[in-house]
Amino acid sequence: MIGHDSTQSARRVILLQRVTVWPTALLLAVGGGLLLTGLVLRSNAALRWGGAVLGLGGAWPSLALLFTGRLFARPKHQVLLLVAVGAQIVQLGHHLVAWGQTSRLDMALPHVTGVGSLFLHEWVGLFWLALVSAALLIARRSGCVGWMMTAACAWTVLHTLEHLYLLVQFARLTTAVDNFGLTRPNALNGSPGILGRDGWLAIHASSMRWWAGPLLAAPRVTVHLGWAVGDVALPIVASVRCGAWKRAQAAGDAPPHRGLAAATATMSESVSPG
Amino acid sequence: MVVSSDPLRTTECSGTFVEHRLRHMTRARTGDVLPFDTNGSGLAVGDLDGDGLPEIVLGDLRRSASVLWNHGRFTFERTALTDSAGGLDETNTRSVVIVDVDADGRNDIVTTHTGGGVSVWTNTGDRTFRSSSFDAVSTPAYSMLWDDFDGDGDLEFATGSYDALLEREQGNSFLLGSGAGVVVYEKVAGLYQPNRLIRAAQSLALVMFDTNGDGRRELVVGNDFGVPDAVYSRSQGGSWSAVEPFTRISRNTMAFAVGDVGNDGLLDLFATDMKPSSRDPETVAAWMPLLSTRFDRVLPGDSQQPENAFQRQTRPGQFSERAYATGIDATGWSWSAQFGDLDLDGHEDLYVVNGMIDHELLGHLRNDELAEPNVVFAAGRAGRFRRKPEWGLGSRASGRAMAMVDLDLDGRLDIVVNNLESPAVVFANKLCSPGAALEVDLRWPGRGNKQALGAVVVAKLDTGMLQRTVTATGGYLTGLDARVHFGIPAGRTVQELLVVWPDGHTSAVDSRGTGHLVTITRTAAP
Repeated sequence: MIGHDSTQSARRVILLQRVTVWPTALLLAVGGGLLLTGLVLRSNAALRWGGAVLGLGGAWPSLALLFTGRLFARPKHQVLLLVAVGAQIVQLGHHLVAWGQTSRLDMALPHVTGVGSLFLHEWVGLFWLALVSAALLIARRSGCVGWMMTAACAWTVLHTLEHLYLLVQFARLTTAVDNFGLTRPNALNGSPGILGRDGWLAIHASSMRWWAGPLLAAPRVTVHLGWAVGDVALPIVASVRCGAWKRAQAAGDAPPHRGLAAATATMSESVSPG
Repeated sequence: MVVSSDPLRTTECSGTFVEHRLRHMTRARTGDVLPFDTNGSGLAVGDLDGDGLPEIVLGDLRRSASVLWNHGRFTFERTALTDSAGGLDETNTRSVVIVDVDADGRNDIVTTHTGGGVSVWTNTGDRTFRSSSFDAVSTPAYSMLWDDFDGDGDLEFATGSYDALLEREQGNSFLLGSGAGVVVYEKVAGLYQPNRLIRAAQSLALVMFDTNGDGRRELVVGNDFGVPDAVYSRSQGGSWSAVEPFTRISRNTMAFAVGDVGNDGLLDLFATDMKPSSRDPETVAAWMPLLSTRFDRVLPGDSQQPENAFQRQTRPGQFSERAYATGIDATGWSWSAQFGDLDLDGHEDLYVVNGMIDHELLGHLRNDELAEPNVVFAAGRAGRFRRKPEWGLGSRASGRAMAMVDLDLDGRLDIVVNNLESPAVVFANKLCSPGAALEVDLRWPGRGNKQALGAVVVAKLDTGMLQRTVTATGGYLTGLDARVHFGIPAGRTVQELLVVWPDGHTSAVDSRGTGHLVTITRTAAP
């Protein structure tokens, strides 16, 4: 019976791999390729499609496991990590597109959309990050511990606080603009945040040290791309540190390439047996 | 060379500037302030009656310009700038400069106007003036600069047009005409010969400044409305050619200020632009029409950005734009700016006046006015400027032209501002400082350039050196006093004064100590 269970389990793993890991890897690769194409060819369409496909790649494992009924069969921290990383990859795709639109396509801020203009609303950014922060914090309490997980939580919470500051500033700005009877600006044209050019830290810095340059002088889209990279990278590394990757590797679920390994570590965690 | 020295006066201090309202208020021509009346009028400071105290000339748009005769102790007597021979008053004034145009030993007044004409108000010597139009000038002028371009001792000048104003005022007749632009007027056989460098300009500021470290100064043109600032280099033979020494410049240049901020013998250039001085949402909201209709199309990588620019000369002819890094990029809707050692600590401070009134653009604000406090910066040790609100210079009046000048000859630089729709003011410098001052007045008799415009004065201290350029124009539509001012830090002594005259001759003067006005008159054999 044990051997039969073991065979069934292996088949299940292969099946789940087929519907999660490989499509995810494909979507991430295609999305990344389209993004690169957009940057090289200065194509806004390629950029936006690239960001959208990359985001879909991030969300795919959660969605696939949800539809196959396997999502909540995993330990809680695995589920939360999977969802959190997926959500942050969606966000990273958006920020990559916004960064490409300003830096490579030379688009003025009113024309910058990222993946979609929905993401330009300050409240969306805050709500999104607040949920991810909560997921990471619960995942940490539920078993995925370690200093890297602590760093991932801290990073995302700080990013959330920056968005809270931005939302408050933007609310004040729109109130004042409404009082003047003027047209509201979009978030990118609103007030700066804590970090970056014209931000709170830059205004209050007594001197501009070389190491602080990017924190004090980078434009908003660059600052938030930096946040987004950390939002994705730190939880992935944290999940590796807390054993997901090692268990996936031991179960033979490890993707073939190290580059994909990092991006899909948490997804492997979810399809690993036991 | 003849050198004389007069002690500067001793006055009390209170630790701040004290505001004195003047009997002059620049008004727009219409009740609602419209473009480009909102650009206001200029001012000039300089000695018109030969008593050693600088007078103030304030332009106006609606009524006649004012001459404020300086009786000392910040008391002034106002007379209208009117033609003593029964001609018209000076009105609709833009740029104002005090120079000795006819080289008769008495300073005259030169003005530009909304319509682009240039007037000379010849000083008769009895506190009256006779007006004449400048026949040599046929191209519309807005900004103006007087100097000695080739160092031959002749007084020469340059003008820049503000085409947006001319289009609005003159419409098709301007568009179908021969244009305007930037013109230099050099004296050839005693007559001014125009040389148009470019046919179109939005020039609010002109300055002479050595941008390539070769010892010769270039003409720097500050343009509004995204027209790039232009720099023209003059060859030995007298031809002018465009050069591009700066990699990043302000987008809507309103004024220039030149100073040696690092006291390294290398002059730096500051340009004003429009950027909210505070990023709090209420301030940004007040700016929103401008931000959302003009500045939101500015690309992040554009070499022109809508903020002040500070071209720090790191090596001769090499510049690094450092406005944001040094904290002086945002000073509101800025107009005039000037460097000067206000607190006598040996470092040049920076004052910027600002404000905007515009019925069309700022109709959402009370009185159509964007009121922000003027900003003064003290040069800090780490290369970053520090705001000094405690100096009492944060006026919220709508400032346009501004000049630093020692009005009471006490060695401390006072400040004159010609506001729009508010009375003009003098800020009397009552800062308490352990430092001392040294002022230098150059005379070059027998030449057209009697004030030695373009000369460089170097004060050699026991530690380091300070450098100033003799100039009669600066900032926005502003005529400056040709006397130069040094702040000498406490405990330092001036060992020698070195003068590099416009023709390249040098004169060395032994120290007369601080606390003096030193007059250096160049004789035939320097």
